[in-house]
Amino acid sequence: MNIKEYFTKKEKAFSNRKDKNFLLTSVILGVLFLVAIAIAKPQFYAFRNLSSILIQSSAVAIMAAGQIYVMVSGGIDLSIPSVMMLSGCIGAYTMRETENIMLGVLAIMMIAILLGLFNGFSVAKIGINPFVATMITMIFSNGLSLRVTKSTSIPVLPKFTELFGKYYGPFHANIIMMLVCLIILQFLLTKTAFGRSIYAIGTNEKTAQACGIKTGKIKIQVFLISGIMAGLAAIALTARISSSSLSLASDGTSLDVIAAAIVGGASIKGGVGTVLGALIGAFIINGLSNLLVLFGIDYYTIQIIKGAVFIFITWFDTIRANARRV
Amino acid sequence: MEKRMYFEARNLHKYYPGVHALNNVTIVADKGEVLGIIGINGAGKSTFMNALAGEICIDKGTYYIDGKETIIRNQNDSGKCRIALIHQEAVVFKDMTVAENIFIYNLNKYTKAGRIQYKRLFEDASKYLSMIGADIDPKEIVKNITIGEKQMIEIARALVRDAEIVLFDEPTSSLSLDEKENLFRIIGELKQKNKIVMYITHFIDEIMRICDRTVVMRDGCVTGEFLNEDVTTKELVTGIAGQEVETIVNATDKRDKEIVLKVENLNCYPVVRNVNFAVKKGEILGLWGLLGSGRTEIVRNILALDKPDSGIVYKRNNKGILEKISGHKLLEECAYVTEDRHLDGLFMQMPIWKNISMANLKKFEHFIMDEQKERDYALQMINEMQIKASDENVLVETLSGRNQQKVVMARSIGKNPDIFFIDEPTRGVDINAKSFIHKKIVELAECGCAIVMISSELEENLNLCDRVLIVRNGEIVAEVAKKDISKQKLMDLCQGIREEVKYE
Repeated sequence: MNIKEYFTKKEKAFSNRKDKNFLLTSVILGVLFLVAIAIAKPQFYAFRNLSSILIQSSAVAIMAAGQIYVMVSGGIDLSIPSVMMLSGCIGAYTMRETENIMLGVLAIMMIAILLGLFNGFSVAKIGINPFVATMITMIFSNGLSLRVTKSTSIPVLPKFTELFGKYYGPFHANIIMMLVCLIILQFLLTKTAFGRSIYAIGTNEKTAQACGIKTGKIKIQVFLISGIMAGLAAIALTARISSSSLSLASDGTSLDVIAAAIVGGASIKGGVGTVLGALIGAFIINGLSNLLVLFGIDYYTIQIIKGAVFIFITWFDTIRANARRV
Repeated sequence: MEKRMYFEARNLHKYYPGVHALNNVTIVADKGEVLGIIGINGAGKSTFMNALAGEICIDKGTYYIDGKETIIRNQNDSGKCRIALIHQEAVVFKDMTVAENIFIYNLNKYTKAGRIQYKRLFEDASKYLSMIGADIDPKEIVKNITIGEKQMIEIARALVRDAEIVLFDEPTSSLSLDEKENLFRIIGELKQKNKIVMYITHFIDEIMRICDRTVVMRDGCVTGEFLNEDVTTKELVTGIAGQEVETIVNATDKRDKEIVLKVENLNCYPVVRNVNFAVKKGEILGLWGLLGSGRTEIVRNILALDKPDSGIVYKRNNKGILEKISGHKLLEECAYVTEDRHLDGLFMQMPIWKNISMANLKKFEHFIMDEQKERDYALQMINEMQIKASDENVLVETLSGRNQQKVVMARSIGKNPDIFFIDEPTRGVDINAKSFIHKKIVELAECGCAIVMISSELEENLNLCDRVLIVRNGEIVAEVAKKDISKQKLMDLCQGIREEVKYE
């Protein structure tokens, strides 16, 4: 064995060991945390509570799944919750005016798809930085929502709530929708050439281009998907709370969606992340809020604690990724 | 006790993932000496320079400057040791004036009440410029001056900082002949001023001409040290190569083969101007020019990776007829090996198997990606290209340079196209891998592939190409047939010393 091989080997052994330690530590910490909750607040594990966490996180989870696509391709989409809110408001407005569910659903999806395509074009064809492009869409959507709703709450048709917001057997419609999205998106991302191309673009866009991957087209498709997810989330959310208003997307939601993706293992730099991770991220975020409410902590403190936890998780993950790389 | 030299670097080590870039390197130099450091790409000479300049930090080893142990961890330390590096491509701020660039480290000395005193700045700048005999207006914006003049800025900058050790990293690679002569004169003057000059290059004739002593590096080690007066060119060559290496020569005759690719009137102002050429089946066509001559841009424009202003590309279709083809389509059908594998050649954080199948995803997609097939295929290519890796899951970033380059080649070959565009096929790989890659290229040509090759290495053009097109300022200025290819001729043509008949 020459010295070169020796050092490579030594380096590898070192990084693997470090990686394993990190994984082990995180699993132990996680289990300890869950056990601690079981002792302190057993009601957290009540079926009804868990099921309500699932239902509450479904909209964020669906949006985070769309966000994952954009982030894996190396971009970021700030506009998802705003697009969701705008399409929800316009959908509710359409339904109120026409008394027709189909038209309402159509309006929701049309708006979401259009804005998704707009984001895609701005980024892929014109070459605007994704952060800026989607921020513009976000501001635009927020403004337009205000105009449409005039700061009031627009109720949706009862039939719409019944269709998309009730229980089918033991499952809430939102959960079914979330699971279907999860399965389809996870499949597309990990099993198809399309998905592989997205990872390729996020890892090294120039190489992807030189390999003959149509980077522009795929980036548009990626933003289209995140738009569609915003539309689906709008349907789920408006049906659950049976009205549309500006409160659909509070200022925190936009960050919740990105946080869910990052907590779930995606990277701002692109190239990594899975849809499953985004869903787990969404559950962690909502579970945490739920838990803190159980402890009787007020909203503002919850935000502070949430921030601290995210910092911890992302630091941990970054350190781990660096250790793996060496 | 032996006499201490002014500068000593002892037992330096530097590790990169999978590479021992500097292996126990000891290099010493004394004042008033021009030290040549020579070696092939990837021998570790640039790593050594970058370490001295503080751009990277060595893992082990000591520097002694003026007899004192010194630590160089970053550019600041390096500046304090009065070391200045003249980069291969000058590091300049292209929207600032020449004078501002020269005094970029000392601008605060020219500042009074928060304002830069331009009059004094310009005066001093012309003083330094005339010191090195450079005729540049200090008020000029840097983006308007030539590459050679940018280099003068860096040299002036080194003088301003009163550098004792001046490092030159392949300074002549993009200079015209006059500029080169001027540079040699300046190096001579630096020597007279009792400075240490370290000169990296892979041109032996330059070493023989200006250096007093030469250090040969190979695979991260110092493998030889010669006083220039008692060494012959031949000895240096053997020292650099390390061993007798099989030289691959492409010898087949392709005179009556049909044309498979034809480029007409390709323009992308100002980097590509009116480019016309054709490639025959089984032919290796070289594009030769200096760095920045537009050779890479020609290929990128053909493949529509850059947007050409005008130009038509024809490709021979199945029926044997030349047919107009769009750049995107051509990119799908041909193989493109890029110039810089770090920039746009590889997915560093992906395993080998994903890298190899990436140009060819559709072939492996049967409703879902057939990962098993991809892996089997990657293993097959790993064998065929003799890539040294334990299995197909190894991340590409942990491979050594030559194996990375082989992965890039494997991806292109695996596509099984009939046209290859290969930009710098052997950049930064050692001599054995080089010969292996050359063999592959000749094999491809023998199988009837048309190959457009860009290479900075003269030998590669001499040994492999059936024809060489000379590129200067984005234009194809001459064509040299195989029988006429010679070192001197290629050098002269690309610098515009000799004019040749234009290619029709």
